[in-house]
Amino acid sequence: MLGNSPKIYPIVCLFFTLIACSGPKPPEAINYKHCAACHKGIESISRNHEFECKICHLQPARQTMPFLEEHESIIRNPSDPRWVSLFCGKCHEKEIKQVQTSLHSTMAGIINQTRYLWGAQDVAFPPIYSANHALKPLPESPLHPESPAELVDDFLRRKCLRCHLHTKGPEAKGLYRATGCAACHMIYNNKGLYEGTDKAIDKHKPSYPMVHRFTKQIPDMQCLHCHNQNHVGADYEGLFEHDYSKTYRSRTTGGAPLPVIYGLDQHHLARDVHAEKGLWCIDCHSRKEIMGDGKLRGYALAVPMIKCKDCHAGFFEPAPNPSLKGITEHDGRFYFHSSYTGKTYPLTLFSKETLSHSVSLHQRVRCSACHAQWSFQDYGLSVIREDYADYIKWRKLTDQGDPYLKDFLDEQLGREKIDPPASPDWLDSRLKKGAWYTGWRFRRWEWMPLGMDQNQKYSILRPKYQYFISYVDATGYVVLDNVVPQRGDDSDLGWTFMPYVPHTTSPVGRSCESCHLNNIAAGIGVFDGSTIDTQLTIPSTPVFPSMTLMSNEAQKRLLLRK
Amino acid sequence: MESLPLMGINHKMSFCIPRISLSALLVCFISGIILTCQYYPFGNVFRNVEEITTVIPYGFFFRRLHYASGQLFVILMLIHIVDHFMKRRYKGFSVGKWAGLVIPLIICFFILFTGYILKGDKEGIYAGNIFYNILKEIPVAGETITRFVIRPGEMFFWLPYLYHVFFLPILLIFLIRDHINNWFSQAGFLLFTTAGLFIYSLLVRMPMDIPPHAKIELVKGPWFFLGIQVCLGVLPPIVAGIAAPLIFFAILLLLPGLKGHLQKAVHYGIIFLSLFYTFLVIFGYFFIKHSWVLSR
Amino acid sequence: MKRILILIILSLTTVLIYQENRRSKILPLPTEGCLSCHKSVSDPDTSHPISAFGCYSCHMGNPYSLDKERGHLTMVKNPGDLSVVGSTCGQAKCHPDIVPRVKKSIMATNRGIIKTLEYRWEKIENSNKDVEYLMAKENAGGLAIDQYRKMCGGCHLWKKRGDRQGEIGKRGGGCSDCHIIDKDRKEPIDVTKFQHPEITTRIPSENCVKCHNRSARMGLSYFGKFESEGYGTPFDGWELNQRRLSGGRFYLNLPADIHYAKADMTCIDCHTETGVMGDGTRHEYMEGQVDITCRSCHDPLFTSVKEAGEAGDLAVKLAFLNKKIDIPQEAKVGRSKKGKPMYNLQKRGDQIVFYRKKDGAPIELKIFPEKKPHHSMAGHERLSCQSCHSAWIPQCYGCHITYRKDLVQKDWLSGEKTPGQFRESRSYIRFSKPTLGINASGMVAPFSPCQVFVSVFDRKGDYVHEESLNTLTMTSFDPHTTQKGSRTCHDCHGDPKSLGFGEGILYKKEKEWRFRPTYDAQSSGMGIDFPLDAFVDINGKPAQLTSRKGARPFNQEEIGKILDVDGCFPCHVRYEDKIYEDFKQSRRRFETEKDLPCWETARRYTP
Repeated sequence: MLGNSPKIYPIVCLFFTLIACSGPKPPEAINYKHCAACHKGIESISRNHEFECKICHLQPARQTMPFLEEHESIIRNPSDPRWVSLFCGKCHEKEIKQVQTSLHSTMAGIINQTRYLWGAQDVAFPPIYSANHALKPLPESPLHPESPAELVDDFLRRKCLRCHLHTKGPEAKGLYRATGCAACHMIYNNKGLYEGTDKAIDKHKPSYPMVHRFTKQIPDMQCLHCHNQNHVGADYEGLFEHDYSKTYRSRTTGGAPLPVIYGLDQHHLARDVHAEKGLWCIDCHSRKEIMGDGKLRGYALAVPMIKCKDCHAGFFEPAPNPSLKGITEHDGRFYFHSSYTGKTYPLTLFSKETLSHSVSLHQRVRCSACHAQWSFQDYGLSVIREDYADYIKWRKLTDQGDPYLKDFLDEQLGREKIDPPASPDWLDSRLKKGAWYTGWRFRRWEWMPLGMDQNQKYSILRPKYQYFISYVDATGYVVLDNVVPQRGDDSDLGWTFMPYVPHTTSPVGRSCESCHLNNIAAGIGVFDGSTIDTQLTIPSTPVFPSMTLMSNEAQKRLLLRK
Repeated sequence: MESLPLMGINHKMSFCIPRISLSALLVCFISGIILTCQYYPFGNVFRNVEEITTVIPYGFFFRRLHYASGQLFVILMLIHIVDHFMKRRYKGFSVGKWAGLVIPLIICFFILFTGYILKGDKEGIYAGNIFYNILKEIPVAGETITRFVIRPGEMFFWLPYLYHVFFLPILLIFLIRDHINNWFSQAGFLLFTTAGLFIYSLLVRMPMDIPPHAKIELVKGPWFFLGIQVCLGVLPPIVAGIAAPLIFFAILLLLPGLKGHLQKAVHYGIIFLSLFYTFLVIFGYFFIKHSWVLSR
Repeated sequence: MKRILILIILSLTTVLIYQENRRSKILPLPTEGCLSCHKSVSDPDTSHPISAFGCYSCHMGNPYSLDKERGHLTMVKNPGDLSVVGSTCGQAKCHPDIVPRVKKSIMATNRGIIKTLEYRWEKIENSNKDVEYLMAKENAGGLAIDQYRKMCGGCHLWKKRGDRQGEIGKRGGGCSDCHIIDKDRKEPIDVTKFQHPEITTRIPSENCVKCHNRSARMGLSYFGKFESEGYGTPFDGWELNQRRLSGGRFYLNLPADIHYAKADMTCIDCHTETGVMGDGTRHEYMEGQVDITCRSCHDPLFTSVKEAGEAGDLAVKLAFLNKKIDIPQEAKVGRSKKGKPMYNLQKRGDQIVFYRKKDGAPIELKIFPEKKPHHSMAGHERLSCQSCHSAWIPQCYGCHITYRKDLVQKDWLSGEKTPGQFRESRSYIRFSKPTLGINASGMVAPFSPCQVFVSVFDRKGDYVHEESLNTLTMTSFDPHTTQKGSRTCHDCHGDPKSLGFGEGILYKKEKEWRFRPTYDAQSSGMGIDFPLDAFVDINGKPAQLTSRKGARPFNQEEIGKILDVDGCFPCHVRYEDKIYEDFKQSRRRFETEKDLPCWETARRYTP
């Protein structure tokens, strides 16, 4: 009764607090080894790991000590790359090795492609550098960089590599996650708040997993903590990032602004039909693909993965692949059972009767080239590193999808005395001078230029990216003024369009005219690319020699020109 | 001035004011004669006035002098009458003698008013038109009287000019001839007044003249007319412009002829009306936001 | 004592004499007092030389005075200002016929804007308000009028010129708004000689673009400028990009209108005197006043100047005032939509010449090839030129307006800050593939969105649902992005966005057309159940309103007809193909004669 009375409750609390504080207590050190004394009700990590806390959270040397004085020496996340071999390695040595070769861990695709495009290395493949130690570790940029080649490592470290297994990245709504194994296997909600039963953990303080539990049931929300912004993953959920300028921070229904998540607000477009039906990312993306198979690979499309035809059959596969987990046959019909969602779905099979499927040349077209409803087309990426404090010009552009940058700019713009810019290097977690700002020329979802993937199949391309690089040093001197980089082997500009699979599958293909007789699809560009802005819609060659732009004959065929 | 006898301050005022005032009148006459030589009441009068003010040598000075001395004379004359009135000197006067005091005042106001018209600027033309329109409102004889005072068209400035330059001044001198004989003997006052008016004219600019074709919202009459201007906004012209002033001056004129309590009552009535009119003038000066209302 | 006074008077007289002698004597006296100081000011133009006009006849004030203050009293700096123009430019001796026309013109009344706002926001059908009315009445109208006052009211002829810095200060000022060539000049240091702003009838396009760069943005589109998403890229040194517009906006370069790109024509080359300055009627909308169509030039009608009487005289007069164009004394001139003379379109003998107004250069004019199959083909009768030849149109999807009663904002009409502040933001912008529909005159024309979502907040800062409103409108206007080539056949007949469904996948299932839209407005927080870019749904039901009575998206029948043709394109790709001569007949044959080669293909269309 007392507890329920709102008036009395605080008084009672105060009373007990006073009693607790009143007595002159001898300074008694807490033995942090008695974890359960505080962490009452903490969940078991998993059925296979019902160990004492210290087994995972204390270094072996400390495990035997009877008394632990400081809480700091407790290892929060034993699966962090720094500790993972020590703690998990005993049982999971093979898995750890495999993960260390996976693209999630090496980031070799992003690193080597970008370095190649900015002229820092001669080839993008085979990969040379990685974010971990699987290959050569990524070097640091010199203190006074003078060319894109010298700047690229700094750009990678401070912009791109905010998502990899070694860093927690900028902690903000939708971006909370752990490192190492826990990055995937420990679920964080979007606000990073703990929802479990451990009494010692503040449920209003962010940056905690939802519950203290390892899981293989990884929901899409977890993948989106990294695969957000205009990258594959977000499209599966129908998300397309809003433009940066303040003009796009619109109030909508109910007078409230759109929710900001992953650093910015988003348009909601048509979701992937698989998402509409309730399939999870991991229903298609297998463990081998995500966690690696021990082989080092240079880019995402090179990783062996499940294909559309494995479930839906294809030109040469009359039926789904029965060896695939979850596929069953019943009365001549095929079903897919998702072990994660527990639902069974009847599979729609590839029909040769469909007009577009009956065209034999279409055998060389990826399914996604027709069935993708929309794609990420971010044209013209201007990046500028400024070591010099000049923030006024960014006042309408503080939202760049980078929560750290936004907080920094908002603070500096509200002040009279400003600090020089500084931002974290996500690879070694140090704050370094200078900040990177970005801006696009324009972003579209309805344009889909075509090119050839590594198997010479027609695929949708996306700009990735068309860099314009600027660098202003600490004295305000413009070292690089809007420079278009040259590739490492000087073969072309450091711009690229890359084949990709938009995760925006529609049950019906797009119309013939979305490719045929369509200048944009054929790579001729919007309005023939006749102005300095529309010329950006003309694709540039992909990074890897196995991928190409459309040949002239293919272009003519697409445009039905004789 | 060294012969100024020893007397109380009140008496001193009664002594000095008429003398200074007559000196001002003299200055006014002389400057007026000089201006008359340059002034031509036909054609582009505004241009003529502007040339006097900014082109003709010493024109600006004599215009200022004429303006300042005229105003000074009328103001002092007004004070003189108020002085007589407040001291109830009218009790010893016959109606005729009292009229000799009041009627020149009315004439003075007319001289100032015609002078205002003769500026030829937007305000002057407006004032003339107002005057013309008010006069026309006089029942039965309106048209006829108007023909003798002001006429629109080419002759617009001619009759006011005649009144301002000849008829009214001569009439005024005739009416105050005794005063001139009595008081206009001391050169000290004349020199003192002249010096004062010179300083004023050298330092203080004339009020601006508004070009006749200007597009402006607000045109106001001369200061003593502002009360009537306010009334014209709310009352018919015949009442505000003719009846009210006539009745006021009639009562003022008849004051010595009244007896006992009635005289006392009228005395206070006149004070009240004068204060009320002063209030209207102040109100008009500060708060009128639109042009004179001619026809409602 | 007396001596002292005499001494004082004498010294004062000396001062007076000194002062008088020091006064500069201007001899001979100038015709106007003004010129005594402003001795050598350049002429505004050859038609208004200062030697003949002086200053007073335009600027008023006191022309007889040699005194600065007296002379400047009641002077107007800008004689073109509509509040004084009746006694300046419009005085009886000068241009009394033009001024009343201009006051009734759409640029002075802004009737179209006000009417559409009130109609769309508050369902007021026959609003008759105009700028003059709103300037006189402080509280005349609701939210729509407040929006007009604070967001739109900065562009009209009644606005005072030079009331602010920058572009907004150059707007307004009546006649001067257009007819003055405005060099960015500092206040003249030397009053005796300065460059008088130039008056001209060869109005440079900058004078138009200083206003016509928002809303429909024709002044930008014509020059190939597209207001961008505001990234300010590519960066320029340590600055954002320099391709800037007023209000912190940036632009991208797109293909300019061919009239500009190829012939360097200015706005006034097409827009005639009556079209711009009005014809004496107080028009409801801009299109009522505009006096030209594409056909006025490309399919012209001529009349001989000699026989045309008054109109002919006007043509000669205008050509004379232009000073660059050959005076069409002996020639024939083109007639505008309303029959007014177009003096720069002349027929000399058999030769048709179009003169560029800015420099009189003759320009080759293509006569509309009416007989060409792509123009003459059956079914295309209702196409406006713009529907095919306009390459792009600025499209601004989702205009989210926040109206806060707890803040104040400047009212452009009164100049005062009053309670209620508007802030605009958007969802996204596009330029390609203009959506088509039927405009108010029944023609197929491009449309562009104007989709207002107003969120109203009360004095306490709380959202008020009852006062908030959504009004999604598609508006038709000439985008001014004309190209020689046209959009392709399938761009209209098969593209869901052009047809009005919005971006998405259009497909046929069980012989029925279906549509899978891309934009999910509900999830994007718009509170509407159709995509932002949907003008009409697949069943021909309009999804959005239009800004004119009679304008509408395609209806179901039209959509059916348009899509019917789409199936034939893969094979019948040319305009002159026989099947298009009588498409109904061809269609009937297709349905009845099952041995046509089409069937081989068509069979596969329907799963």
